[in-house]
Amino acid sequence: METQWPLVIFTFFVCVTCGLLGSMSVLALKGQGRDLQMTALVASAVSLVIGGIGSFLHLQHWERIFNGFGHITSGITQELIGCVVLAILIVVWFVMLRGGKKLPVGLSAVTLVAAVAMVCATAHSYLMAAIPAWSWALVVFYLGNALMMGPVVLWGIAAIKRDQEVEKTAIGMSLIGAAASLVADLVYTAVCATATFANYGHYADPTSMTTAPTHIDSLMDIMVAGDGAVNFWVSLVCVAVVIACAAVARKKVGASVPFMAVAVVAAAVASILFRVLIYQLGYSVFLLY
Amino acid sequence: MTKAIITDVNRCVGCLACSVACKAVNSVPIGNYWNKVVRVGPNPIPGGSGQYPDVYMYFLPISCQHCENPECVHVCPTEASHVAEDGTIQIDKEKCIGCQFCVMACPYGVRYLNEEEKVVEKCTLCEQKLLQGELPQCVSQCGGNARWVGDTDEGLDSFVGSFDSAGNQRKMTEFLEPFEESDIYHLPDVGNKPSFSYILRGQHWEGGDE
Repeated sequence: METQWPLVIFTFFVCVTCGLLGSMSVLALKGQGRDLQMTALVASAVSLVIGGIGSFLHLQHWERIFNGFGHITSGITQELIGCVVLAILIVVWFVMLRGGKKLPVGLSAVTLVAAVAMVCATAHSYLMAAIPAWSWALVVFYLGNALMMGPVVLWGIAAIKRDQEVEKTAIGMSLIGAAASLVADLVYTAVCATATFANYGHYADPTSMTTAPTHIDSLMDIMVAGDGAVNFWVSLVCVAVVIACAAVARKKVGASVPFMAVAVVAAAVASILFRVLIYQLGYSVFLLY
Repeated sequence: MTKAIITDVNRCVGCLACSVACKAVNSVPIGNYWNKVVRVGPNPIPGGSGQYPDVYMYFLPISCQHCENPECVHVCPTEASHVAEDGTIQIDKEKCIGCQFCVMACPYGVRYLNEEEKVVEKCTLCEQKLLQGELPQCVSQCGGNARWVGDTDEGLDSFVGSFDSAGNQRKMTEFLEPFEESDIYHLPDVGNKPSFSYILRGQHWEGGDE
């Protein structure tokens, strides 16, 4: 399937937003990072807006967007509702932070749950029985990706704001999140390895006689050594780089900016490339054209 | 009530008349196909030499299968794609936002974005003709009398085709060469339960979901 870049952008920034809000909630629950919560909140809001603009670019009739609230079983409707909920939570956080009030534990807990639910809703949009590579494993991938992206961005904010307490926490969360992301990538890969397609032997489409028939024995062939190999391997290596950066930076709190910069770039590259790979694997079970 | 089409694959000669007729009567844009005919084979006959004449081939007309459990309807955020009263799957173009998730969710690749109107389109089973008591154009135009339209709830006897030279409408069960229940196939089913059927006698049905 052709890569849908607006949706790549949307899902990437959803994971950034949710990961960041989740990380901020964890910080709040630990009683840390009061001084940089506003910066992180603005970053999450900006990320949500960029993602939203990305999804708008995918619509042919964006002016009819409010029709999108019309069908609750649709993943897109759930995403839209999720975006509204996140926006409301961001406003509540903004009001609380501006007023200098103590962040309620309940708000952090609700934000954490909402962030996880939003990632799941986003993944749910792409769960399609017709496309073997778009199975439940997408939920695992997106959750793992949010677990990596949020802490890494928080690490960046903490390093720039020179908040060493949060920096230390964010580095630890980045290490765990990136490891979880690597496991999620491998789970997704393993599930793809079990995908099967309808086999028609020799066939031809009379409206496109010069197009070679598509035959897929295993999606692993595409991932490991085929068209998706570059995206697959580079993505995994980038996640490994994030893990390595976080592991080394744990002993360099206060001087972790170079490692943070590499980790942020590597995490972003890994996230984008794996999403492109997901589209490359997006073959219908019915391969006739 | 579920309106559907049964195609006798043994009678299909691959003339593409159904495909062309569909484009003409529904103004299907260039590059889009609400009805497409694919040649399956030549594939080797099991146990044969693998060379001609030990091969077989058939033509497979593919359009929206007007599924009983349509994924396209489930994923549509606006209910533009919906199940109509006659059981067919229709698209309300006024509601469509052009997200194209239905295109991705359809197993059969029979939904297309109309680049001019910026909405998704597909086979309507010639809804406009059915409402006037006429046949879908792919059925009335089928030179091999391979296409038949009817109601799956009312059984095979309800399926009818084009009119003969005397002006009598052909009934599928009276017209077709004999076939068994085991000769009736569907396209691969991933839980969507396609309503359309295919009859294939004496050859191996490719693609599974037999």
